[in-house]
Amino acid sequence: MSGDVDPKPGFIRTYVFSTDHKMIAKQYLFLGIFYLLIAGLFAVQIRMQLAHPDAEAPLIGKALWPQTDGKMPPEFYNMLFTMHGSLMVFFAITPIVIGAFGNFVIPLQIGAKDMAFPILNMLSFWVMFIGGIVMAASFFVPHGAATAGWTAYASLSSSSEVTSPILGHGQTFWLLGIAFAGTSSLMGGINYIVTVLNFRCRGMKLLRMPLTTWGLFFTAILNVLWVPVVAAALFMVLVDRLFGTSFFMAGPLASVEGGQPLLYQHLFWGFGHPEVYILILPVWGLVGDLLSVFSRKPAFGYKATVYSMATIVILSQIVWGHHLFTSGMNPLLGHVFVFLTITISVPTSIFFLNWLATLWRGAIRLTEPMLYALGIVFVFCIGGLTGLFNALQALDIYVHDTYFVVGHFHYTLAASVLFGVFAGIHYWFPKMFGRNMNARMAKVHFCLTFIFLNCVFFSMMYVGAGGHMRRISDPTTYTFLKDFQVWNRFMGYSTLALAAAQLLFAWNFFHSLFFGKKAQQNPWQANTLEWSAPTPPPHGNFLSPPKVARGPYEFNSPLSGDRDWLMQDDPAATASDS
Amino acid sequence: MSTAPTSSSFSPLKVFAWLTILTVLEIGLTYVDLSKPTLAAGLILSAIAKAILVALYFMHMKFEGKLIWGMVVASIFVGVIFLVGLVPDIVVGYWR
Amino acid sequence: MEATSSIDPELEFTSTGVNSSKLGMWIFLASEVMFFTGLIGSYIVLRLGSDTWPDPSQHLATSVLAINTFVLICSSLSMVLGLQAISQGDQKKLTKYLLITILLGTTFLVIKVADYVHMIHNNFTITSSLFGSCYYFLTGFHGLHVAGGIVTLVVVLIMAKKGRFSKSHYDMVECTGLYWHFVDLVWIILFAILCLV
Repeated sequence: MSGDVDPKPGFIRTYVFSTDHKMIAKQYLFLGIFYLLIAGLFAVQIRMQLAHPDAEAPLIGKALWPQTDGKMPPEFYNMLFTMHGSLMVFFAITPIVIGAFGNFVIPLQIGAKDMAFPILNMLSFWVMFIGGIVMAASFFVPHGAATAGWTAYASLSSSSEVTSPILGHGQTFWLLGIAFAGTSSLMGGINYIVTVLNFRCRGMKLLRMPLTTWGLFFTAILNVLWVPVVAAALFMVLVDRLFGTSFFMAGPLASVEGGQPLLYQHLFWGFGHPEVYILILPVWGLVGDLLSVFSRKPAFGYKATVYSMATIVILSQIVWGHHLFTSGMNPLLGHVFVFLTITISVPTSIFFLNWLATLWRGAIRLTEPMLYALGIVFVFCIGGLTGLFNALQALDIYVHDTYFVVGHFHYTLAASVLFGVFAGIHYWFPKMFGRNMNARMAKVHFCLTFIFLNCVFFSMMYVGAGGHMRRISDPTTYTFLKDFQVWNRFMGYSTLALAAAQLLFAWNFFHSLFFGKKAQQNPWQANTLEWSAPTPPPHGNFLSPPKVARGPYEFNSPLSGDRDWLMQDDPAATASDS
Repeated sequence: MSTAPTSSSFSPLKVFAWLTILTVLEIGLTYVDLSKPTLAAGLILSAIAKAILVALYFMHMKFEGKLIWGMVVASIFVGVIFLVGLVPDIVVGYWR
Repeated sequence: MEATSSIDPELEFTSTGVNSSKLGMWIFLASEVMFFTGLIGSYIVLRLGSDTWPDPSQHLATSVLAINTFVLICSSLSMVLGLQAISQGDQKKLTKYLLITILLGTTFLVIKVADYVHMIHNNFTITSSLFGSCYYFLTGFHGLHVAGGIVTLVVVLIMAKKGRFSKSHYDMVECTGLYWHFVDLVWIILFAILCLV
């Protein structure tokens, strides 16, 4: 299977319907960056609307809504935040972190020639691609795109199109788009698990795998288990809309007696909470790798980090109820979920401590991937600590559905994962494309992004603690929010600056793609297997099948001679088994 | 690495016979005048027995190693925990 | 790049010793377990939370469904026999049993559709009651799985006719069999908790 390498495939087999995991990774990367751009522009539009609710919407206002002097109607605002969330989670972060990094890194780091099922791998990209088109198309159907938020709570999402055609088809397109994305994740997940379990090269024991691969492996497990659950829920919503059933409808809206709106929330968050970890686990792994490489020290407590990640995988599946504290859920059940949620902070603290201990007394090299990694450590700390507030039932009732929660999950998901995206791209760019990115430009980009990102997200938590609700298009209609308008403007301009800073990254990325300096085989002097493959790796990855003799973080080993790093497959020194 | 031909070490017809007997038993149960919970318990037990027979023999789980057992048991365990989480909230919600 | 010869000892090597296709199929089945946990779990919750649940036998032709259950169990049996045949290298028997499995699966679907038509004719539709919604939704999704299984089986049958399987190489028959038995297993559970209770 993975060995059927056609030495000279044609153009289409090389660049379009490629089964090479590295090309699929690049396809995922460009798809993800495209949707990151789109969804990012939505975010700018959202913040500008909140900064100036009475003014015309910049750029698009005059063209789209001449009848209101370019002022954005609330329905369109709903579409914006719905699609911002959905596209970011399912079509920007997932393709980049899981699709691109997963595909590129897993086979290289475990010493495999390719994924276990290359054709399935190709299909998973194209299914994701179709899903993206369906999502984008939803803006152009009558009555526009989905407006029910990225969570698509019933009954907002599940009211029947049959009985009320005014609802339009946007939500149906949304459901189909997510179904495609889910199918893609499932195919990818199966592929990753089999690859990690079965295609490790000789000597690559499970506990010799780099932390990034561990993170991606755990992610794949959560994907395989929980994507089907949300698929079940979304299909029920779909049937509610198209056939007029009432699985998730109650009261006068229901066509059939007995539906349970709360059931949807359980099913959605049953998937939704693992999804948070699906997105963040690869980034945690990546941080573990980067901190070790650029501190020139073995990752502190490697096994403890792996085990605590495994514990989080287990716990993450039984805490979904903390999203439902204000939904009318049984308070006794709520207490159970409070307890379980707080328990997650134990393993989280363990690997956080391991990160800090890795840095302790290291010979730190502040390269650009390292800067992003340190950025993740900082923003994830804030995101994690504010999570404690949301996890407590009594506090959550106060902050629920405010910008405090929005700020919290933007710190954990947007800030941490975005930095993870940048860290990963800068780290593997030389291996992926065979060229280097401009380091100085990347460092400036990091500083600007770091500053403005904190300006936006910290202000969110500030206004949220003051009671600013999320998902409202015009805060000035509430008297008690009038004083926050200055903060909304501040966030608006910070978002503009944040978006402008990304131009630096875009220039750096695309310029380096064609004109960057040729990269060496191991520019970061790391130990893991991807750096012992040629740059860029050919079809089949390794010139000869690697044989692993040691763990991934042997820095400053006495065996390594005058270098301070020791490749995992370096045959020179004899194996010192851990 | 092909697995050893273990599939012939059981008699499919025997399993088939058991499945049929249990199905007939299930239909029979619905004709007996039982209370609803008893009937439900009986049917569910019988269905689980049949499912285990299919999984163990037809799907060869009896001859599989730890890895595949682990995956199956883990997914069923997670599923059951999820169900347990669903039930108290909706079925015995405090407003009922 | 030079390692393109067809007999590559590294290819035969898997870290766990379990065949990759089989492992992949089992992972897929684990995800299917979760999918049906979502569906059946919703059904259980909806049912236990409902005050007005009819007796299924009011609406369903239990005897027809029982015959259908038997048909599906038979198809599972023929699938097992087909797998046993190829594991002893008997290609002819494999083709025969695959054909029987496909025919039985198709029979299941035909009876299913006829049953649907009959019930809709009797004004029991997906919007008649919550029971109706659950019944059509769950059995509908199971039916889709059966249909998918039949398509896969047809592909396997064509491959078998071309003599693509042998005593030492029958991964695809085994994986398709696993899926087919799983679909059978789901129906066994659905039949008991949806159609009889």
